[in-house]
Amino acid sequence: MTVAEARFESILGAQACRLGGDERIDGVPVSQVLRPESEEQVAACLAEADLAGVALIPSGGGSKLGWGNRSRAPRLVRLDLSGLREPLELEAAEGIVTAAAGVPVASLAERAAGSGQRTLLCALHENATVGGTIASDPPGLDLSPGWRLRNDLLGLRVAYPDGSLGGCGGRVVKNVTGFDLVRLHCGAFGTLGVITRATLRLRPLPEETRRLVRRVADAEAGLIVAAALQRLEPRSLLVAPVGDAAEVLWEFEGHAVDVTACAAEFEGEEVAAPRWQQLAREAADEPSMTPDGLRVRVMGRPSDTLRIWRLLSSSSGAAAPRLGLPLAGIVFADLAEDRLADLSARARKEGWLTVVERASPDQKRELDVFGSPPADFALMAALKRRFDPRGTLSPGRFVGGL
Amino acid sequence: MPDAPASRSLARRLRQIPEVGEVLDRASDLFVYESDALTLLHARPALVVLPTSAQAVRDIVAACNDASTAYVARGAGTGLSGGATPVEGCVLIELSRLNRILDIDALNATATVEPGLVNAELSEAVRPLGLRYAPDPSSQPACTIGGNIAENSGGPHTLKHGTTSPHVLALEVVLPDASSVWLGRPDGHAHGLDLRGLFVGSEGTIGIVTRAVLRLVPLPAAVCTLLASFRTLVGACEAVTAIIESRVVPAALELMDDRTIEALESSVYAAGYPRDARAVLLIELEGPRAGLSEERAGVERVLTTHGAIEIRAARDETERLALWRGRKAAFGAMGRLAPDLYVHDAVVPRTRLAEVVDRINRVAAENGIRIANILHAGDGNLHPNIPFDRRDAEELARVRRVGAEIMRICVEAGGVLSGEHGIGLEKRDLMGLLFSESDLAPMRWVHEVFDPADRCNPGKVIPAPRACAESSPAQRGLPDLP
Repeated sequence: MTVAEARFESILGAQACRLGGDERIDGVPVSQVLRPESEEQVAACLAEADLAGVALIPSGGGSKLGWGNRSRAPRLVRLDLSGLREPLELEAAEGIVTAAAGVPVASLAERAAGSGQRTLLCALHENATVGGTIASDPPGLDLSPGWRLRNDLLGLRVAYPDGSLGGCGGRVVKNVTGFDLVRLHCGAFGTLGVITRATLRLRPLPEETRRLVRRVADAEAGLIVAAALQRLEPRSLLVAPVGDAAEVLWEFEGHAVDVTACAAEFEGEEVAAPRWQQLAREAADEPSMTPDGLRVRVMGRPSDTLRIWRLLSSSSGAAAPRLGLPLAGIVFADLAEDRLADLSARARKEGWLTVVERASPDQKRELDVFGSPPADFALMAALKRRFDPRGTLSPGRFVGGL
Repeated sequence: MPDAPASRSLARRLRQIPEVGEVLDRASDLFVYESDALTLLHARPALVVLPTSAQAVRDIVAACNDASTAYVARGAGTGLSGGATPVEGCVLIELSRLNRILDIDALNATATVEPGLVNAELSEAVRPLGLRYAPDPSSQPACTIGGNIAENSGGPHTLKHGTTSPHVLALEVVLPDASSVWLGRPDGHAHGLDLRGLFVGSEGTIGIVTRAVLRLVPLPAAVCTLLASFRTLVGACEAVTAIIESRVVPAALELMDDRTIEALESSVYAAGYPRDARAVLLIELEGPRAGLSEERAGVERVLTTHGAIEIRAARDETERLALWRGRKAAFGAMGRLAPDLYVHDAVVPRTRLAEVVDRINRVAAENGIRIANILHAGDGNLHPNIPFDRRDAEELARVRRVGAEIMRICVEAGGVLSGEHGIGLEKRDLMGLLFSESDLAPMRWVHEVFDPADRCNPGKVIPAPRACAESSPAQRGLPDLP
């Protein structure tokens, strides 16, 4: 046992520490797995890791551990936050919920539904936790410019590598007190600090939801139909290939009378629940839909969706795009590895962003899954150096190898 | 603070920058820039410069850096927390001439604008396309987009649409090192850390916006505006909670107390609000027409159950605008009550509104201070307004004491220091009520990264560490604080 491993045991107790065995994250060996049960323990683990020069990678339910770049650390200690289950406090009258990082999104959703409410946490990924979902900010089927998790995130508690625990935001639905660190941590992959708890806005569940589908000749025809549908402001809008044809699927929600009127104006057949679930699994790439290839997500403006689809169709060889989200300007596709450079370059020329969601450990040795760093990367790197000067948190995993 | 020769030298350099409209240095010109709408605090800039391009802003910042001079960006000066209050002897960069709409993308519902554009002008420009810019501060006819971004401003319709941040997709900013960079992507997709989100609400302390890509939202298919009057403030507050609990999300849910109604109805802005009510709620619902009728019926039931003595619905757009004119002019109407007005801003848990307002009113009464309350009640956002005369030093001291006490009451109730006005200078030294040193440290880390020389609107938002001897306002060239 190394000195650091022994110190972690003294912080958490032997029962909360185990050796990593054969576990690897993107091919990098995991030497130890720590399972703290309080945010103070999380902060203490960070301080110890920082002091000992140990690279930590936080995890929740593990559903997105395969996202991001391969860490540059020779070995990792995985900080398993699934033991942070308290609190889960739902304040229905205030319209807020506060949950520890390790609370499963499904549990929170069930609790909120009990009071007729919901959050914007993406619920596509099995086993996803509150902290992991905020840190990775994955796109859900209902993503649109006005329906973003970061806008409904009210407050966070965060553990930092210097061993401190800091709060940002608050437990009220409107707040501009101080710098907005809540948004800085949302989608930051835990590279600046480890989220230990969050307060989110609750939104009322709609009185009625209807999911409809229309079969069309091909995906391009589907995207044209989808464009016409957008004036009815559907909550979700999907286009998916089915054999040589395609389906347009949409979801209306709101007052029953409005939903009925919208459904009458743009007719389709009711979507069977298993079909919607299948699409959710497709978007989440869970389980891996084509194990050998890359899974990419190409993103642009909503009006770019058709052109993104065309680009992918011409770039992806035998595999076709798998799912389009026209409200968000996103297309998911499987891609042969040797086509990635060409696709990324062509997408970049159009101002689109290509992110590789899944690649094998070997493939990840050679690529930055987030593509070329953005224009403001120098500031991101400077923030990383200030928040995590020794590179303790997931070194190399985020954009540009942060 | 530069001495006079240094200031003259800097003025000469600024005048040589192409696309600088004017450089003001006469005392009579500088006087009007001594404060923003928080007139309690004022300091005189050495120079005021009015750039007309982003390049000019970069050149101005570079000149200030070379002269080791602090600079403060300003839009229309409607801010209420002293965010644009000058630092004594600074260069004030007035952005009102960078005011163009550069692009409107109706298909994707976005607009690219310059920071000096007046908020209301954007909504007017995109209305023919069936779109609007949702954030609508009460100062909407005057305030600028750049100022809104700096303060993460809100407004009555924040309840449904959020403050400014959700409506900003990307920003071109001039950083304190005089370089220029885009934060965020114009399509709104995340690529790395959300520096756009970090920048919005940073109150001009980590850079200056020179261009913004904004999200527009569709005009609602139908709108229903109700005015409900109550015999008690508590009854109105309870109705607010009950409406939200009935799973309705109004576009706006505003509350005004009797003192506000009286000031309004006695002014040229009189809007026909019932003078015998102790409180009124202004409720706006929006959405598809059929569902809206059901929603309205539900809200009216809740209002009646909670003691509304009268419910009035705007029958057409003219009546709707008249109701809103009353609400938006209420701050101006308070000019009747005293020469000065201190507009407070805090947020508390919605269910504690009645209790908090009651405590605030009692503290005010104990100190011989009158308060008129306007609340974005649906958000739990209070604006206790204190009319006063700053020429009366004794009254001014009481106003400041009560102001600080209001913040303590709100924080004790689980609230925060600002819902939409920002911290600025006004509340900087009250941040410790809400945040520990561990909470504040990451904010300082951010500031150190962006502005290591501390020249960009210095001394705002973040208090100096408690042990720091240089934190007194005078030593930092700042006006004294409440």
